[in-house]
Amino acid sequence: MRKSAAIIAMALSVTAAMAQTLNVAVGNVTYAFPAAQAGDMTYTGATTLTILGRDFAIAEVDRIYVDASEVKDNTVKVTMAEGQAKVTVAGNIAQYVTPTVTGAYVSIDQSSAVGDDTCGEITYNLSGKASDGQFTLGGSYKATVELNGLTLGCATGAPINITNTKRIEMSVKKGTTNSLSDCADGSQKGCIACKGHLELKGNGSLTIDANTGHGIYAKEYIEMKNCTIEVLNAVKDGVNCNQYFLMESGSLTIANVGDDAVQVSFKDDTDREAEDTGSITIAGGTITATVEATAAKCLKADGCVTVTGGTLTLTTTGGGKWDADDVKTKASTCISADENITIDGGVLLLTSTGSGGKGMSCDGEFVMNGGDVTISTSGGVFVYQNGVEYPNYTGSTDRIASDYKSSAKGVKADGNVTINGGTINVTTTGNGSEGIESKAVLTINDGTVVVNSRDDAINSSSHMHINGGDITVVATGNDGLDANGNLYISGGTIRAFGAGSPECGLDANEEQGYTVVISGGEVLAVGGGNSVPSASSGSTQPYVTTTLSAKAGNTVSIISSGGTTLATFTVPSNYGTSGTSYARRPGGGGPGGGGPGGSGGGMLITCPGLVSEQSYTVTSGTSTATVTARTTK
Amino acid sequence: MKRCFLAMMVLMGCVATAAAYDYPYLTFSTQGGVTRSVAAEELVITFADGKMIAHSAQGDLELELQALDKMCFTTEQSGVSSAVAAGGVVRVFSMQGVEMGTYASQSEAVSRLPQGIYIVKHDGSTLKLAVK
Repeated sequence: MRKSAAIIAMALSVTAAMAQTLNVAVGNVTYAFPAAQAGDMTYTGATTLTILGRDFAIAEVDRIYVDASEVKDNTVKVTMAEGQAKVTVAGNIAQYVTPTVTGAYVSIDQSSAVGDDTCGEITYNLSGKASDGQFTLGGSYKATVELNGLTLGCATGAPINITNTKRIEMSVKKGTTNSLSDCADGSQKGCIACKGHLELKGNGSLTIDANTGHGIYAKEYIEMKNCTIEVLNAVKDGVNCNQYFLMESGSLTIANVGDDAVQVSFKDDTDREAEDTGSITIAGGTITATVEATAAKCLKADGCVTVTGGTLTLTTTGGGKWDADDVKTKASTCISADENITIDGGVLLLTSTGSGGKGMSCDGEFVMNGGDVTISTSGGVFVYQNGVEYPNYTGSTDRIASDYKSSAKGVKADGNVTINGGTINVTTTGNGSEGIESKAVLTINDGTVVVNSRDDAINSSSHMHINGGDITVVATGNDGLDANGNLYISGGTIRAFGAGSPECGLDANEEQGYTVVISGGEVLAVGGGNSVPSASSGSTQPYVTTTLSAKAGNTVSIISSGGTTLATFTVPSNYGTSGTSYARRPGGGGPGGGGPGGSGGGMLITCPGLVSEQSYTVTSGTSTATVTARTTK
Repeated sequence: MKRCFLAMMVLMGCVATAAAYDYPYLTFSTQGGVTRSVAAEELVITFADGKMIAHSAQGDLELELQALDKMCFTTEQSGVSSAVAAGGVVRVFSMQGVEMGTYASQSEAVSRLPQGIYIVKHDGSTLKLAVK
């Protein structure tokens, strides 16, 4: 009995929930009015029927019918099919939406009356399949566009063309697969073209084939969350926008693009709004991008690039080029910023194979506070001279102005480089390629830094400060640490390996009167002629030098006369295995002798506990040497 | 358990067949104040030759567009039934009780009678009719 009652109750509840809708069909557009909302539907002059504020010319109405279809307020459904599209407009917004349907081309004018005080935001739900169609949305109030299983090509322009200049939330619906392709030689800026700001969301997937311009273009900012987007082809950039690009989560894959993967520009160069930062921020998600064009970038920002999370696998394969407008050479770069680059977190795998190609490059400062960065470059030097581009220049570049050459580098900053944490591992193998370079001051306060380079491993145009961290650098053709000002060492553990004399593990700009200043830290420096503190340097922590050899995998230790091991270093396993390693030049000091030019010799060690003028034993593998500590040269 | 499930399915089917819309009728009002209802179930409305033609599961209704004022969903049937409107014979009286005639349908009565307010009788029901 109780069961029967439950059955009846259930059945009645089903009945009570039955929808009832009055549908007004006008061509391929149906306006769906829930019976409960319809109210008085008035006839005027035998020519006009008005429902919920929407006037219908009776002559244009094909039919009106009542059915049990569900209507969700504030929604417009667009269903594409070959040669035709059908549009259903929820009755409560019928007065605010004017669709025009021609074949599978749907253009919707969203009234300027739409706003918080009328109906609020309208959602446009797009589905179906058509090889030649378009969805165009106008308006002046924010809107949501849902991609709900849409496959749409367009033979005349962008399949999705948003002329509405406000916030457009584009939701790729969960579990759906969506695909967009546009025509070649069109005038559209992107396969998705949006004149407002675009927020990409949802848990579905979207693939884009852009045959005229960018994959996704927005005149204002783009934010991305959750969704999976693949730009499989684009004549220009994969994603191009102004103001900023923010990725919070989701997956973005970009390949086969003619220019950059993601490019962000300032919207206005003269009168910028607060959000017009020209920046790229990656807070999470996955970006996998490969760019092949000359001087192309995976991430390129007029402003700053900040990475706080996510996984970025970025690859450039293009070489350099001469930019006649900017009168300077340009090179491919995985991450490029006209302002600063900040890495606070995330996992970055950056690979650049072209001439002059770089992992990261910025006109401002580079700051690393966290994250795990691996950079690999294999390109050589790009040079432009006398109207000729030399993609892999092998001559001396000393007399070539900086604007006319571009060397491969792991990290290059015109401003300061500061590493406060995280792990960065840089490998550069091309001719003249450097690991990490600052055109100003370089500071390492903490973190793990590993550089294997062809040219300088870490270079600063001005002073260099090592205050902490764990640093291992191997330069096969130049210096390990090369400061063109003073080289200050106050902390951290440093293993610096340079090439033969005059290159070295530690190189302060002694030629210009600069020096090494040691006040702390543990250092093993190996190379042709390490710089040592000058008499006037103010250096306080003693050091020792020896010409013992350092071999890959060896343990190097310094032991006091009392038998206490003060410091132990392990020579990297790859040291001396790839290209030029420490090798003395004739006259540079043989085994057991002093270093070249009276400098620090083949091996310099400093660590806390050393006392000036006291003797110590240095062991390197099975070799030993007795040395005397000194504080200055 | 199986019996219980079958019973539920049958019951639900019966209820669904009953097409229990919240608003079983769409009711039209003329400018003369006359109201006429048609069943909402399977209702299709078209327009042709200056007329509104409503086809429903329970019959059809034709009304002159010129005379139409509004329509709305209702829970109760109102005015002349759709069957009458489609052709049921009506007797018309003046407000003073004088019989004006018998007409094949209310539409015919409206088209023939001079302007004024009348009482219409059909099949036991009485309605007020305004002819403009």
